[in-house]
Amino acid sequence: MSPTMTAPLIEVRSVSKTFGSNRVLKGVDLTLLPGEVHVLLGANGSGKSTLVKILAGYQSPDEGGSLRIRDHVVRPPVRKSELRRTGITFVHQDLALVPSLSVLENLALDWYAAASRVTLPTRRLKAWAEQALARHALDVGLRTPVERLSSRERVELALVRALEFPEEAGTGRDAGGPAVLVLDEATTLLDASDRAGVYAIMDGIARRGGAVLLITHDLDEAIDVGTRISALRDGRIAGEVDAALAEPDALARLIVGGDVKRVGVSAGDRRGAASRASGEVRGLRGGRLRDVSFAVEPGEVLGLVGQPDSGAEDALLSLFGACEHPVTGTFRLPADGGQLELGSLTPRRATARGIGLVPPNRAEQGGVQTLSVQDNITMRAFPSDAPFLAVASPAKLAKLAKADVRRFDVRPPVPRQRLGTLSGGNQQKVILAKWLSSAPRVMLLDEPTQGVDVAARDQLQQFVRSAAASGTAVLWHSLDLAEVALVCDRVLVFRHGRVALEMTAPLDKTSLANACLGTV
Amino acid sequence: MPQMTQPERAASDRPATEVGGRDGGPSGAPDRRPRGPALRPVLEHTSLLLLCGGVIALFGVLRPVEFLQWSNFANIFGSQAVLVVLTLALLWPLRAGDYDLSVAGILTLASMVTAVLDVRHGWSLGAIVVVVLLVGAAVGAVNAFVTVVVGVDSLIATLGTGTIAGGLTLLISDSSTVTGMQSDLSHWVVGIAPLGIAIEFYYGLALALVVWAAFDLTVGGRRLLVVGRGREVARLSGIAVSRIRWIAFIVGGVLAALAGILYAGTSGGADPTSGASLLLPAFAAAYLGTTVFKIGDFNPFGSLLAVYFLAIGVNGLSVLGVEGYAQNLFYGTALIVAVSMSLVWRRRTMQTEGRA
Repeated sequence: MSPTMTAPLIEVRSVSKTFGSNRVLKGVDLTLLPGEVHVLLGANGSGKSTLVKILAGYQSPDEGGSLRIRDHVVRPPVRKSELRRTGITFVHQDLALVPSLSVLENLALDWYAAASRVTLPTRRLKAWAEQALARHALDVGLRTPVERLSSRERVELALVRALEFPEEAGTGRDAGGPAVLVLDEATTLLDASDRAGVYAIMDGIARRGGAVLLITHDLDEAIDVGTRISALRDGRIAGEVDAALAEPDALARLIVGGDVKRVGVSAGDRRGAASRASGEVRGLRGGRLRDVSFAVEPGEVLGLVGQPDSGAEDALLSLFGACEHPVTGTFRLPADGGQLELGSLTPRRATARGIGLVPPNRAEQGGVQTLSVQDNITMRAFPSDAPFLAVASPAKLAKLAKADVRRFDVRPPVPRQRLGTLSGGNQQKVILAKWLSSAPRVMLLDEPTQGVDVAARDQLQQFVRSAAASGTAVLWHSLDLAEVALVCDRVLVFRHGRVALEMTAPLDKTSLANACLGTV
Repeated sequence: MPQMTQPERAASDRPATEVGGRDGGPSGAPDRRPRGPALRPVLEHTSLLLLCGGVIALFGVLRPVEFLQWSNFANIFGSQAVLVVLTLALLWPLRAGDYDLSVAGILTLASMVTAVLDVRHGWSLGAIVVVVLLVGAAVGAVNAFVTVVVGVDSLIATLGTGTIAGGLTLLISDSSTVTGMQSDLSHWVVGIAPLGIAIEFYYGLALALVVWAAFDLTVGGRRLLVVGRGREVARLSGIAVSRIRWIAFIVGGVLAALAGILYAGTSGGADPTSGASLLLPAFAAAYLGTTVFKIGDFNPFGSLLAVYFLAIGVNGLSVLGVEGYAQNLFYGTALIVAVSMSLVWRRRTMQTEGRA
């Protein structure tokens, strides 16, 4: 290879960043070579986001250190025009799409922003957009509003927009150079099975001599799609490994430092509680679900898995009255909690009977970002039917919050702090603590560790296990089968709206995956 | 979007990822806040109070004789009770995340019903108060039905009901001013109480205390806050979101009607356009109130302070001899500045906390 071919597309040399007295990045080196998918791993708070913000020009690093893009030294803060010219684009977790606008309008947003002319060459723009979508094999209508796209299509659309510039937009992009794409946790919200299109696009970039910097929490994803993996820990690159040689456990150690404590499935935990009356879901139908029945034991962690359209998630949400489709069926609660008609179940009724739910969308459904940790963690401190004017002693609430924050290791342990300023993992601890502190009869968890770093994930698993050990029946839905295999005592595998198979510990990811696909 | 009433929203729209890139994650670093002067948070939470003092000092220097008299302040305190109660009424729906543009219409209707029942029908004061508060509750219930059950945007729904209330006012009053009230309502409202201030000032104060207790010391008050800030989270936490919103609208309606009764008592009658000029000041005070004491929250004592800050400003301007239009300029500016300030503050808190 000639020297120009191997020259890094992006080269970060001993870059540091300090906020106040807190040094977030401590001399980070990172190179992005042509033809690679470079994965950047790191716990929340390791400095990943800061590094990305520096690359994207939102923040300037401290003095010293250097940043080179395509062999040119760039003076921070990196300017937007510089990024455009050198073909470096970013897709962040929020995707920055406008839900109410059409696919075409979203694709042309950059055009609107850059064009200085008054009139729009509508026809040419449309032709360009059609070609752009076709080049990346994304089959959506140009006029479809983005809010009607699936989450897979949205992520892919954001990628297409990042990679394609209308020539006429006058963005000044050097059309010859291969693209550099930074994916900042953009795949987090996608089910594993929906990521294939994104991976194909990434692969295409790498094959054309471009490069992808993929920021993710998902170790399996890192190993499967990465060429090289770097782990950031406490503001330093803790290690760099060849993805082909990487092992999940070794990566986890790299991210966390030291050994990660894994939760073992302890049969003793649940056998003690199993003598109590079990619960039962009977004849659950509606939406994708076709006559689902299963038993729920107090003290067990029951996994619900399946392909995204298998009905596993619907079954979980139905038990809280939160499924988007109307359902019918009954739920006899474990530990003699009585019987519920699922057709008329509402979240309010469910909570009144001791059922809790950690919903999949943390920011919108799980916790109120602008309220304090205390307000969130004490949200369930009163019975559902408490009258409006029942006394809520601020001192008592503060005490409760303080105890829960300590018990569930929320960091920082400051009840007054707003939830939105905590890392994803710590937010999830708060949301879980909200329910577990009142010892629910049934705890429903929908992707409880999504977008959570490895250390917090292990803690969340511990909390769930110990809730089960004290008699709560836990239902765990996740597409992360390795985690399900690790945490659950028993797993129901859903296919086409039915429970196709029941598996018990010891479980492993591969057999679960095969069961979901029906390839056992 | 009704939730946009919340000054908090701008902050919540920000992606909820790590702000500034660190937390007490696995690194286990303790929470460290920037060590500014300890005075700063105190100043932030009471800046409106200081601003109030500044305005008083300014007018005091400019017009020491007319402005700095106790009778002038007694007048300011006594004359704002209607606005105080109306603002406290507005706080309920706002705190639940809904707009209520009908409070001024309810006030007008309530004052007119009070005057008509008194002057034309000779009802007793007790019966009038009960009926009028029921009228307020009824309009609040219609608001709740249209927004909560039917699902109409609260801005539109209450614009409609407020206008209907205005129409009903014209209907029952034959479009004319009603004066000459017989009952001793005026005595109970503008009678002089301690410190030479009209008694209604103390009603406003007491009501602010009651609303504060309802917001901060009751289960319902905590839930009201959660419903206003995160409706979906509230629903999935088993909170009866609809019931809370119903309560907020109805309490808002009742308190707005109470403001109407005070209005009738203050002016000894009612005119069909009485409330119209109070809607904007009430919103201005409610939002200005979010910048003080409990920053970001619609809070009763913040609103109370805001009402008097605005009143002092308007009074000072009139003492200086500035024409009546100044009042509108002042209230309008205050509303915009207040909302802008609460947004800026919120953004900054989110950032500094995240980096701390």
